[in-house]
Amino acid sequence: MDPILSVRDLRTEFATGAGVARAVNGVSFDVMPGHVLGLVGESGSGKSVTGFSLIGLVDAPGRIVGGSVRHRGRELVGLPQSELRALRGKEIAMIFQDPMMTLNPVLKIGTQMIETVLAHDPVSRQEARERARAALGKVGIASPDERLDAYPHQFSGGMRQRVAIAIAFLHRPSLIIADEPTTALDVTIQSQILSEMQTLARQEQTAVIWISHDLSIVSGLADNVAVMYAGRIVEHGPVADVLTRPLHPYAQGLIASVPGAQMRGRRLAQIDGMAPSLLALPAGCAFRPRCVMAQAICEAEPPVQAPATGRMVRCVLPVRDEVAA
Amino acid sequence: MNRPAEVKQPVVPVERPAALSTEARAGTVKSAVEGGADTPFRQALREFVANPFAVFGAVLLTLLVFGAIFAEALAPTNPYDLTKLDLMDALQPPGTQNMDGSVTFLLGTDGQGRDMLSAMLYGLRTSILVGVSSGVIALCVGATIGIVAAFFGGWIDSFVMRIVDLQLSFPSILVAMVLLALLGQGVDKIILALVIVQWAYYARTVRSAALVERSKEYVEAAICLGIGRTPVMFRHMLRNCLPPLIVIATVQVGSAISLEATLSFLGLGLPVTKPSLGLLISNGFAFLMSGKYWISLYPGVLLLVTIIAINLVGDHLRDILNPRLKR
Amino acid sequence: MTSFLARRLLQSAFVLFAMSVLVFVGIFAIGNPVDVLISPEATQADRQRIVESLGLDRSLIEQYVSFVRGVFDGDFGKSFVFKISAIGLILDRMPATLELAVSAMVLSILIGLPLGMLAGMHPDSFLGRSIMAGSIVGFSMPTFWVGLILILVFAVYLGWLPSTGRGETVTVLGIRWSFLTLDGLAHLILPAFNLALFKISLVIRLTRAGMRDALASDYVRYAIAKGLYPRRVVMVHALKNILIPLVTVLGLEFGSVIAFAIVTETIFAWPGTGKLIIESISVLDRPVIVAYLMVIVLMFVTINLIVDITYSILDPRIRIGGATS
Repeated sequence: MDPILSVRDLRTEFATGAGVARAVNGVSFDVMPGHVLGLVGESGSGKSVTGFSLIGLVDAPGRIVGGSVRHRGRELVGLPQSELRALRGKEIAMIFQDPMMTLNPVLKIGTQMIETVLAHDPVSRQEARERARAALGKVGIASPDERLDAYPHQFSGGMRQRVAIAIAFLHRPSLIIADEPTTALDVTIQSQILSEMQTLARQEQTAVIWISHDLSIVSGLADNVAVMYAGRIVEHGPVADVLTRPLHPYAQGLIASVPGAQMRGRRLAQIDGMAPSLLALPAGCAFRPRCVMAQAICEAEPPVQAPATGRMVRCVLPVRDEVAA
Repeated sequence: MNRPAEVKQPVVPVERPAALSTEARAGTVKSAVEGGADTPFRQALREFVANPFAVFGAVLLTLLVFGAIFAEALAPTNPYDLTKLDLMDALQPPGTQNMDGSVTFLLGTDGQGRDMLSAMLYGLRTSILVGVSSGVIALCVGATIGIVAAFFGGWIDSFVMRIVDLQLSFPSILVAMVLLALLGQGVDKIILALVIVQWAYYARTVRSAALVERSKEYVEAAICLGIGRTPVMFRHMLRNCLPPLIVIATVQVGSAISLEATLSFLGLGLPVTKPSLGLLISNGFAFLMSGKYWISLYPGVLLLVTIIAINLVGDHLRDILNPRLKR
Repeated sequence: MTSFLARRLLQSAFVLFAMSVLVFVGIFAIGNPVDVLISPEATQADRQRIVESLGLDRSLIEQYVSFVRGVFDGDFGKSFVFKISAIGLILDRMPATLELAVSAMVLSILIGLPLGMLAGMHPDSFLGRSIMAGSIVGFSMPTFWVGLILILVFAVYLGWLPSTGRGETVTVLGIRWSFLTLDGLAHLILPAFNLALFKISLVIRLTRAGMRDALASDYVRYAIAKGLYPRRVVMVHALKNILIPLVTVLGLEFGSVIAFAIVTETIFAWPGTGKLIIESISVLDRPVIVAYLMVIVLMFVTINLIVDITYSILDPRIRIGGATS
């Protein structure tokens, strides 16, 4: 099966007054049709910029400086804006973190849905409204007809995110990039939205890139997980494997810091130190200053190892024993 | 004023970014991020000097202030020495010589045979004097009222702010006009009128900045340490209100000069014996239709250049000192 | 909403009362109008007769009380100079001023809004910088000086446009208007542009700042991610958010346009209230000054009230916020 999206050595840089920040520094991954990829990392690790770079949504002073993004085999990097526009929302949709900020406060929900339909399909306003209404119904919003005439602030946080999901699925895209879509929500609403997303993605056979800092969310949702640190993917693999046998010291630290039932009464592990500034990355492995297993050799560029099919880790540590164990 | 000092040392700050980046490269990442060795003032200065428009405005302004201060020495004639005036020289176009050929009227003469260039230098002095002194007095009055309102809060604050809001809802030109109609003509009268229309801007600015400061811990700490209210307000809080105050003061002096000129043009400001640029323009208005443009035009250009120079400086000060616009 | 209205109305009434006292006492303090009005050759008896006929021999409080009583009958006293009702004089001149002020407001939006949007969309381009530089110049130029230059260029040298008066007028609804005839329109252009220039700069700056904020906002990024055409993103999503503060500020600025009309009317001999008030101040025509100021105060209070109400209607967030709180 061919991947729906294939990313190779993607590089995005921000030229700031204080220097060049390499927010995305050689990222590669594939997304299979209907699969969910979890992109995990701390804030500032470059996971959101990666998401925006995929559809050419990087604002100045940011710029994609290299690499390739292929969607169904078609190269997206360097595509003219008019062709990217036709793709956005139609083939690749996005859901943002805070729908309070992303839904336009002065436009009715209906307007914001109808315009999305009309931007890609030559249908009548009436039909567009009909489709918007159906989409709202699908995400479990009661009396969708009235809700179309309401403004975003008249919705609760969870409802707003449902609207955003409804908009994302309007054109039955092949891929949805979801950037921390549940972070701003209450925990109970969070799980509702999660299962909503999962059901819809499965129904429509839509692939999802789920960007999150929360490993526990990704674990229940994703098929594969990629862990990002300082603009690079440091570990990538099937979600079950990575969670049970993380290879990279950073991934190990992340997983150890998630509270779990079997850890009751024990002190939670944490990773000392702070994420490095992208303007002043240490030479070699960027995680080195915080890594408990750091050695002199880590000052050199860490090698990429593929210890098993579908698994990848960017670290000098020998991984044979780990996988064997 | 330390503006001349700002202008004189553009060379030093231009070199600073290079010095800073070597520091950063040497590995002191922390100081680069926090701007450690760089004081806020130096940093602001460096940003200011980096903008050619701002530097241009500052240089221009320095020249104008210089010209105004040394008007007597620079002016070819004393335009208000009545014994030197000759009606035969009246309304001469730019470049004409006077009757005995001793003086060349570079910018022409007005209806009384006055050299326009000299009259303009004297007029500029009056304009700047009125603008700056009314600005400084209004700043002192407004800042005091604003900081007191922010410090004490409660009914004092709401009372003061009511008055400020009420006054600011009326355009300054209207208020000034009515005041001058009441007060009559005179340099002191127009300064008073300009102070009355301006104080509210300063009070509002200082109050909002001081309210932020008031809630900070150092104010509580200073009070707990037994430092009196007055030093806390005027030494500690006021210092931290300075950036917005500097910005608004620059802009206000510009608008005060403009307002004074407008009022003088309407015949409401200064006495004829002490004409500012506005009055010179007004005097020339009558001759405009007959094509004797220079009497109005040149003082007008000088007025415009002065206000633009002030606004250029003020505009970039605002960009630098307003943290909201910083990326 | 009702209590909000009642409170605002009460506030407005108080402002009106306070201003009437201030204005009356202030004007009372102006030098003796008798000296201006009566020729020096008049006999003492003549003088006395005129003072009594004008009511100037009574005390301040008596004069104020009779003034207020008159105001409630719509009578602000008779002009000392014109010997006719002061308020009638003002109202007779008001349409000319309003015509000028409204034309200036329309011009400032027609010119300022597109320029501000351009500058906001391309802030670092040559065009954007030029527009901003132009707006600084516009801000810096005193109204009277611009008027002078306009006359010098367009009336004296080019001879294209007239520089004094209203030109030919047409009477509609019992009021004379200039903008309905070609000649009147020609007379209107210079003064209206003169009065508008400062507001054009203001609109440019407000629009540019709003545009930059809007373009950097999440809702615009989301609109782009939905695949909307750039035209719709700017003209609907960004513009609608900019218009709210813009309308508010412009509404409040209408008062200052009326005030600055004094300058423009003086320069262009436009027969409006501004020219009247300058003439009245120079001859100390108290009733006219008082009537003018009271009409202006009333206008300001009304404008503030209307802007407050409009604002709450325009912004859906405010409207609902007010109703629920």
